[in-house]
Amino acid sequence: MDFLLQQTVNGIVLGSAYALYAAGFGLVMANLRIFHVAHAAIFTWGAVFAWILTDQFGWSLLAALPVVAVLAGLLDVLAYLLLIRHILGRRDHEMAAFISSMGGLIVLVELADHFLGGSVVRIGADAFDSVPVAIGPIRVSTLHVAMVGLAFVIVAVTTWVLARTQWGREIRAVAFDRETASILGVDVDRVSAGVFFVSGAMAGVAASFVAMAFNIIDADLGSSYLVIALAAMVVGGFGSIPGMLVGGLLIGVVSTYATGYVSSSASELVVFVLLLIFLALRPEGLFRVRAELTRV
Amino acid sequence: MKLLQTPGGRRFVCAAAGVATVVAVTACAGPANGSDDSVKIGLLANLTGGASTSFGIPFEQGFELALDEAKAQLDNAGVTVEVVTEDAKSAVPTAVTGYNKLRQEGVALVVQDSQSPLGQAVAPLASEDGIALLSGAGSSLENPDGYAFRFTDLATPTAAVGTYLSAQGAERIGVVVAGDNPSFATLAGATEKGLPTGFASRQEVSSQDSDFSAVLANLRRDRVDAVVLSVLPAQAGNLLLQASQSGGLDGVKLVGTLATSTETFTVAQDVARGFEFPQVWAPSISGDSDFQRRYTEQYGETPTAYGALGYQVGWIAAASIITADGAGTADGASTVDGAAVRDALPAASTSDLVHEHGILDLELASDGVAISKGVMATFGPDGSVVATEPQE
Repeated sequence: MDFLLQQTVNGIVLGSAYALYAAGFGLVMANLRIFHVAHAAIFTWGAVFAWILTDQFGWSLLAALPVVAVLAGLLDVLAYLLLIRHILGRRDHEMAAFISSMGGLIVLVELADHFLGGSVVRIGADAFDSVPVAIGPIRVSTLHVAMVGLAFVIVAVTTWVLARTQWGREIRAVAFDRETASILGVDVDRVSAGVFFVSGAMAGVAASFVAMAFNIIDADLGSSYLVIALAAMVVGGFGSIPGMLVGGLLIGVVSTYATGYVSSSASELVVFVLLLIFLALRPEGLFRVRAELTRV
Repeated sequence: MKLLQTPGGRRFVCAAAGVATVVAVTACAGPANGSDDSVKIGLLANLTGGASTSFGIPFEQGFELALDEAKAQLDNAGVTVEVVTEDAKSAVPTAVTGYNKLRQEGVALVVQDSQSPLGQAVAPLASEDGIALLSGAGSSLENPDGYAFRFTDLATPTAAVGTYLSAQGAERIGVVVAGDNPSFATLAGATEKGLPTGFASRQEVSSQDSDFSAVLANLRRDRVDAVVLSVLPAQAGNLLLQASQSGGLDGVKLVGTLATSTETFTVAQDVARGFEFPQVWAPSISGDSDFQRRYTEQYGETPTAYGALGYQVGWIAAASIITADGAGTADGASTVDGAAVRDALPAASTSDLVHEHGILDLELASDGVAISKGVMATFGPDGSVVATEPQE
C-alpha cells in the first residue's frame, strides 16, 4: 500500500507538469478552435529563458519564474500576431492556422537549436534548494511539492478569472462567436492576444519546473510533451481548464504506475491505450462542458 | 590511329606502355620487403575525424612514448623498429587506404586504435596479407588464421564490478538499465556475471527517459543495498541527482559501468562525488605515477585510458618484435614477419619486459581476445576521472 501511495504521488508530480502544459495548449484550442502546435516551441523557449536567468544570471528558479512567464507569454503573443491573427478571417482558418503554427514551431525550434548550439543544457541544482521530505511512508522533494502546488494554484486562478471576471466573460464571448463579440464591442484581438499570453505564461512556468526537475533542456523539449498534452486534453475534456488538470494528473499517474509495475517502455503504450478508450467511450472527456461553453 | 603513324606518336605510345608495365609489375609485387634491417610497425590511428580527440590522438601519444622508452631494450636485442603512421581519419575507406599504404611499406604489425567498423574492415585484409593486427575494436574481428588481436576487453572490468560490490558486503544489488540500447543491456549482463546471485531488482528505462521517480521508488521497495547504473552517462548523472533529491537511498551504493564519463559529473556535479565506476585505466588522483608524469611532461596533458592503452600496446609491440626477432630461423637468420609477430604477441603481452614497464593487466590470448581487469574509478574534485585504486 505504501508503494502504491508513493507511485501515486510520483504520478501526481509528473501529471502536474503535463496539466500545466495541456491547460495552456487547451486554452488556445478551446478559445479559437485552432491547433496551435507552436505552443510546444513556446514551452521549449520557456525552459531556455529559465536556463538563461538561472545559469547565466545566477537567479534562483523562484525569482526567475515571473520573468519566464512574462517572456514566454510575450513570445506566444508574438506568435499570435505573426502566425494566427491574419488568418482568423478566412473561411478555412482552422487548417490555415494549424499549418501556419506548424511553420512557427519549426522556426522557433530551429532558433532554439541554434541558440543552444545543438547541445543539451541543464539548470544547476543550486537554482532551487530542493530537499527530501518524508510524509509518513511517502517521500517527495520540496521541488515536487512546489510543482504540484503551483499547478493547482495556476489552474484555480485561471478558472476563477474565466468564470468570474469581465475579462473572462469577454474571452468566453469571443470563444462562442468572435464576430458577434466584436459587434458587441469586445476588442477581440486584445482578448485573443490575452489568451495567448496566459497560455504562453503557463507553458513557461511548466517548462521551468520540468527543466529543473528532469534536468534536461534541448530544442525538442516541448515537442516531446506535445502528444502527452493532447492525451491530457482528450481525457480531461476540451474546454475545461479543471478537466485538463485532472486529465494531466490522470495521465501522469497512469504513466507512473506503468513504469512502476511494468517497465518504462510500457508507460507510453498504456497512456495511448487510455487515450483510445476515452476517444471510443467518452470522446467529450471526463468534464463535459455545456455546448455553448465548449470553447472555454 | 594517326598517332602511330608519326615517329613522335610511336615514341609516346612506347613510353606510355613502358610506364604502364612498370606500374603493373609494381602493383602485383605485393608487400615490399624492408630493404634495411629495421622492423616496421604500422600505426593506423584516427588522428583526425570524430574518433581523434578521444581515441586516436591519446593512443598515438601513448604508443610513441612507449616505443621511445623501449628503444634501449630494442637496441640491446639488436632490433631496430620503425613506426610508419597513417591517419585512418575515423572512416572505413581511409582506414583501408591507410592499411594498403602500410602493407606497401612492408610492415609486420599493424596497430589500430579504435572503432569496430575500421577494425572489421582491416582484419580480413591483414589476414590475407599475413600481417599481424592489434586492434582496439570493441566487437569481434574476422580471424581465420589468428593474425587479428583485440586489446579491448569490456566484459572483464564490467564483471569485476559485481565482484567488487559483493566483496564490499552488498547482498541485494539492483540495476537500472537502458533496455532499448543493446550496449547497456550487454554491460548489465556482464555485471550480473560477477554476482553470486543475480540482480535483486532490475529496472528497465528508455534512453529518452528523464523522470526516474517511479524507478527510484521501485529500488527503495526492493530494499537494495547497491545499484548499478547501466545507462547513458547523462542519465546516470540525472539518476544520481534525483536519488539525492527524493531521498530514501541513503547508504545505498550507486556504481556505474564502463560507459560512465565526465558527462555524469557535468550533470550531477557534487552529488557525483564518491560515485564509482569501472574503467580500463584511470590516472591516480595524486598524479605521481611514472607514466603519468612522463606523459604529462611530454604532451602537457593528463593521460586518458586511451593514452594508457597506447602505452601498453607500445610495450607489447616492442616485446613481440624482440621475441620474434630472437626466434629467428633454422639457419640463424632473422625473419620478423607478420606470422612471427602473430606467434609472439600472446606471450609478449605477459612477458617480464611488459610487466616491468607496462601499466595495465592486459593479456592477449592466441585466439585474439584480450583479458584486462581494469580499475575502479571515481570523479576528482574538478570532475576528472581518477582511479580509486593505486596504479602501477
